Amino acid sequence: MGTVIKGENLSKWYGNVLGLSEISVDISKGIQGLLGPNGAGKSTFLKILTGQLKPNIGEIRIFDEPVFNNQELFHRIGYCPEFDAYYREVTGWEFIRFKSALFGYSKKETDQRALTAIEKVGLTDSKDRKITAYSLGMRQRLKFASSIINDSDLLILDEPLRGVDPLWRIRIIKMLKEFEEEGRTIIVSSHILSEIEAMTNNVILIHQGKIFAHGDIQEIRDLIGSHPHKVSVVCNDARGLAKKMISDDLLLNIQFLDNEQKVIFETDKRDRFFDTLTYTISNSAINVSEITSPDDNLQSVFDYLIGR
Amino acid sequence: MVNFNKIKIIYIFFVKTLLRSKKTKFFILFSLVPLLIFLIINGLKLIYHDNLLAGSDFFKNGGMPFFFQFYIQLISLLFGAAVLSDEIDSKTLIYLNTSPVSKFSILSGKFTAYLTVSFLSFAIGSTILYVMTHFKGILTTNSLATLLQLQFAGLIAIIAYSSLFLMFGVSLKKSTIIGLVYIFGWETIAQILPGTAQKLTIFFYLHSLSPIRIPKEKGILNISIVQPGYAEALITLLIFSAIFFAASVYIFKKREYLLADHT
Repeated sequence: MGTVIKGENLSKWYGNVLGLSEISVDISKGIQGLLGPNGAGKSTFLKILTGQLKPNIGEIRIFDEPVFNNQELFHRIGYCPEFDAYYREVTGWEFIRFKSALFGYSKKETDQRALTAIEKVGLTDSKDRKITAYSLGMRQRLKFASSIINDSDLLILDEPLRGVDPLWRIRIIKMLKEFEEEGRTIIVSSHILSEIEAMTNNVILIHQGKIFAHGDIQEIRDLIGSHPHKVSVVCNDARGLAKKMISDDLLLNIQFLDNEQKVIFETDKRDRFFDTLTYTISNSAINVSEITSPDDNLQSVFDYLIGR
Repeated sequence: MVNFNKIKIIYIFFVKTLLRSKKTKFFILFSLVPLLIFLIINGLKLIYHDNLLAGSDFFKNGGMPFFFQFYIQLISLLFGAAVLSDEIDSKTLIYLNTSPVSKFSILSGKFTAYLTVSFLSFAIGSTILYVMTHFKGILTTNSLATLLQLQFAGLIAIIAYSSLFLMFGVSLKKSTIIGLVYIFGWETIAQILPGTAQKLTIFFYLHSLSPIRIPKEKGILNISIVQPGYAEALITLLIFSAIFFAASVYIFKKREYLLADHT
């Protein structure tokens, strides 16, 4: 497969703050997940990718062309930014039509493409409402619509599912998979592993401005699996629950809090632990009011991996 | 190659956007303040059986300073600098910068849209005031010609000031503050400074374009510089504007705009 995006030794600073450090990427067709905790450098990378920022060191090329100030390249690129940014005085239709017109299509094609894009995200009925009257999820879908007007070869999506309701998440993910089948390239950034997992197996992990790992998502899953997890359970019989759980060889540590209303389990066998916990609760008279897993996020996985 | 069609698309979109904005509505209403004052003064004079204030005097001593020494500068600053700063503040610049449109076209389309709306705001207020204060002789050729010349002078002034503030807007973070310092600091001080400092202000040339004398401060040493002729003033302001606009496009092309915390 041919290279779509090629970046070499990309580094970016904001004054003394490091945004990206010596990142090299070679991205081909398909969906590429860009994963990392908030503040990892994903957005900086995407801003360099879309020509909003210039790397201090290194070079990035898309379709073998330089990006910065190369506005013609955007005939082949669609971009959905992370910001909840919109023009306050216009309707959804006026915005999408404006974006469509900027591609230089004929009037008829401009209208047709704008209409198709707005239909795809389910905003046809509310297209004549001002964007200020949209919910966050609707604005997010509108932004997504603006990125798919030109049927681009490369679609760059920065946190595209943020604020989108579950039904539309599924639909957007389905749409992206269809785009992939059409042979297009899609870069999706997220700080939520399950979002990326639903779209692709191919991920780049960014942390502290560097590429931490690049490859199959299953490897990331395995890393999470071996990562010691704390699971907090609030129930009416914390000690009884702990007694039942301890009989299995799953736990590294147990701690009781809040007058034994809460128990915190530490395990390094996450999947088995949750299977056992579900089984134990469903086969006992223990009433559980809350189960939380503070470690079940990317930040804690990264912290664990880099040995903090 | 310049794509006039894309400039037109951007122009129409932003004229429409601006005409709906609260800022434009405010400035249109604000342009009617001198008229309101004129009506109040003469209303009070009527009540107290005093001699009415002559309309032409009020226009010369009240209307002209308001429009040519305050309103035009203020609207040019708040619209000119906002061509880009509005986009940066609302983070919508991203939609323009990731479209297949040259930076020149973006700035040209947006700038002309902002100019149009600024001029419209000025034209509404100044024309109504002029008509109301010259009501008796308004249909004479002289009066209409003066009104047209005034509008033209206003248009050139708005172009010159807006292009300067556009340049501030694309290059400086605190462009509005710098613009205010320029208008109410430098332009005012330069008028009373000896030497040729006045030549480094837009107002110096604007003065020559106006068909009605704009009241000016006297210099410290009471040395007045010979005013440039009409053609010289017009050409100078247009050249200034072209230089400021070209510089704005150059900076816009070269500069990175940070729309948020970049991590």
